[in-house]
This record gives sequence, C-alpha cells and structure tokens, in this order.
Amino acid sequence: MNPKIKRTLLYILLPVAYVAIGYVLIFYCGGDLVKMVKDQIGLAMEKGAPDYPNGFDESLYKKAVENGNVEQWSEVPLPAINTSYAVLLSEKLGIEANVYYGDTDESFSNGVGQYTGSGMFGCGRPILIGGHDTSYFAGLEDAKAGDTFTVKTNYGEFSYEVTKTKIAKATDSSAFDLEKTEEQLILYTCYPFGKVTKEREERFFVYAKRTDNGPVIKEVSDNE
Amino acid sequence: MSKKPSDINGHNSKHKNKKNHGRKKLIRNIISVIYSFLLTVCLSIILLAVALRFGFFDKGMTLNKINESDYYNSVYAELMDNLDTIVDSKGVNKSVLTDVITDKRVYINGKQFIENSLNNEDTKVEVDNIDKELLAAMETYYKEHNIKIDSNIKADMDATISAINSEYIRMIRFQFVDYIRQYKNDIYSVFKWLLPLVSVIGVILIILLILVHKYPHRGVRFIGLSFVSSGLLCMLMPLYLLVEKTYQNISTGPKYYIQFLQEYVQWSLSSFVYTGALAIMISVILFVVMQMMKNRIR
Repeated sequence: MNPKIKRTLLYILLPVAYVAIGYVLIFYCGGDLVKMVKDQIGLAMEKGAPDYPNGFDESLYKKAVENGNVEQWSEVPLPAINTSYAVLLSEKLGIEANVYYGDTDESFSNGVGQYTGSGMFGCGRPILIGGHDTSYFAGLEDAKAGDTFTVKTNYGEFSYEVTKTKIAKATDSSAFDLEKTEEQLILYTCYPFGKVTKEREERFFVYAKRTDNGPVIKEVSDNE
Repeated sequence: MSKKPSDINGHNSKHKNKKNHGRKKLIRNIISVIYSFLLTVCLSIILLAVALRFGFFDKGMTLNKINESDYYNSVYAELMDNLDTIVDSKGVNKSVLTDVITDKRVYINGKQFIENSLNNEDTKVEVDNIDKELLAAMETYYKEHNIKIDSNIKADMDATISAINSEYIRMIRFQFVDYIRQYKNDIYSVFKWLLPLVSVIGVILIILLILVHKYPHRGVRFIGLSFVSSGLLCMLMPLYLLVEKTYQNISTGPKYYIQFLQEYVQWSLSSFVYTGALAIMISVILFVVMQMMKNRIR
C-alpha cells in the first residue's frame, strides 16, 4: 500500500479506534458510574427546584442515618406547609403516622399535624403535634412514662421517651410551653377518647424527652 | 552471471536486516499505539476537568443564567402566593406582609444565599428581623382594628410568623445551587490528586513517544493523534446532546426554573464542545510542527 495512503488511514482509523474504545470503557465498563451520575443530576434537578416541598424521602433518610444527623440549620430541608416531611413511629403503641408541617384539617386527615409555631425535630425546642384519636393517634390512649417514639426525617432520626401524660382543657395555654430551650415532643389528641359525636373540650397530652445522642441543630437567626 | 557465495551471504544478511528492521518498526508502532492511547486517557481526564470548571462549576456563568431567567422576581411572586395562603389559613390579613416581604429583600437574601453557596461559604439566610417586623405589623393591624390581642391571637400570630419565616427561608434557599456546590466539592477532592497524577503520567508518555522513535516527528504524530482523540472523546457526546436538544426535555419545577436549567445545561454542554475543539486545534499545531520537523530531516 502507498505509504501516504497508509499514513492517511492512520490519521483516521487510530482516533476512531481510540474514541470507540473510550466510549465502550465509559458506557459499558463504567455503566454503573454513568448511571449514578445521571441519577444524581436528576435528583439535583428535581429536589433543587425552588418550590420543592421537601417531603419525606426514604433514600434521604437512609443517607442521613448513614452519615449521621445534620448539625447545621442550613442543612435542614424545610418543608412546605401541608407537606408530610417526617414519620412518627411507636411500635409498642401501634403508631405509624406521617407528620405534616401545619396542623390543618388536611394534615389531620392524612396523618398528624405539627403546629408551625413549634420547633423542628432535633433543634432543641418543643415540638407540638396533634392528631385524631380515632385514627393515627388511637394508640396514644395507652401511652405512659417510659414508652418510646422514633421520628424519621430527611435530615436524621430522632428518639424520644415519654416522661408524663396529662389531661387539660383545649384552651389551657399552660399545658405546654413553646418558649422552652429544651427539646420536648408534645403529642396531643382529643379527650375523652373515641367519642366522635360529642364536642370534646379536653385534650390528652403526652410529653417526651429526646433520648438519642445526636447533635442539637441550632435554629440560628442571623441577628444572633 | 551467477552470484558469488560472498554475494549470496551479503544478500541474505541484507534481507535479514530488513526483516529485523521491519519487526522493530512494528514493535515501535505497537508500543506507540499503546502509549498514545494511554496519553489519550490522560488528556481526556484533563479536558474533563477543564470543561467542568468552565461549564457546570463556573460560578459566573451560573449567576448569569440565574439572572437571565428572572429568578428573583419569579421566586418573589411565588413566595407571596404561598404566604398569602398561609396568612389566609391563619385568619391574618395579607396587608401585614406588604412592607415586610418585599422584592428587594427577596433579591438581596436570594443573591446572598446563591453567592455564598457557590463560594462554599455559610449559607444562612439573612432574615433581617423579619419576625420582629411581622410582629410589629400584626400588632399595628390588630390595634387599628380594635382587636384585643389575647392568648389565642398571640398563639396564632406566633404560628403565622413561624410559618412565614420557614416558608421564606425555604423559597430563598436555591437548593439546586447547593447540590452543584456539593458535587463540585466531591469531584474537586478527587481531581486534587488525580490531575497531578495524570499530568505526570502524560508528560512521561510524551517523552517516551518521542524517544521510542528514531525520528522524533513520528512521536509527535502520535501525540497529535492523542490530542485529536481526546478532543473528540470530550466533544462528541455533548455535541450530540446539544444537536438533539435533549436539555429541552427538562420539565421539573416552575417555568423560570426550567428556563434556568435549560440555559445552564446548554452552556455546560457547550463548554465540553469548546474544550474538545481546543484539543483538536492543539493537534493541528502539532501536525504542522511534525511536518516542519520532517522537512528538516529531508
């Protein structure tokens, strides 16, 4: 073959061969890596949207458990109103409820609702959560000191132990203190239990202290 | 005339030398092909780093694309819609938001969050006394309407302010930028050791390619081919994605966010194409140099 033709073929065939081998290595041998990159880009696009509600995501929860609870307020994915952003569990009391941010009728229909004036899990403040005794908080009736609760969120897992229970009027503002600088899970439901036809003016409160060793996330205002 | 025995031996040894020479040349070419492929891999990694730096991870470009998508005004509009819903549900009048949550405030806080995130700095959202201003606005409203602030109304005010604060921070935090920051940190932590390594290996391969050949211009040819190949590896797939406009299939989130993503991805893919083109330009220069070296031998 003419050396010039040979050289010309070399200039074409060699780059084509290198590129082909390169793409084979990337897409076939590195297929898992390519898939992971694609998934991460998709995740960033979906969850990075400004209006993303930050609902509870099992994969994010598992990642948080693996890496440890977040420590900074800036890492806490804030939920939109009426978004289910956590799961409240108590095996002993038979409670497994989605926790909605906001104590609206919609929240109570689909799970339990967190009062927005209270703190977030793990942030060293009281957290006030209400639910119907005829559905998700039916098991609260049997709660007593020593019972435990677990809360799963996208930014960590939190554990609580019941310290006491109390019956108080629904309008009794002394039943809880949301200005406390100590984390306390306060669950409440209607009392007496199960009486759906009567207007119930009392509430059954369950108070629980935090028992896991995770960090306290500071809800730092920039004026502090 | 028949050949003398000495002539025959001379002819045979010439033939043997030619065969040996041919075999050596083949081995040199095979070694060169291997070295050239390895150099292609090294150059591809370097080009990838360059393309990412000026594409996906370019701070200036990201900020430009955010501005071009009218991001801050759109977030402000959406935020006000959400806050109106919150205050309505709490039975509070919308007018309390008027002078507290403004487009200027959203712009300042939003821009600060994005810039801090891209600079790898603390991304706290500056809430600038929003809660105090809201409380004052609500107290004024109730006073003006002769509504006594009892414990129930106080509790509603606290809940409303807390919900507004939370929603404000949620909308200000542009999480996509935070994800990009995380990925950038992860990838740069690998490039920190990988780039020097492949650079050293690349330089060694270049030296070996020149030394392995009797005439250096042959080594330069293989180096040029490596640059062409790495350039093509870098640009072909992104070029295909650009031509097919696959980035226009993004449909997640509000309209202004989709617009931002499409422009961001389009620019980032373009950076790969430009980087690949740069590598090909370098290869053209190398081929010219190679030809000059070859002409000098003649």
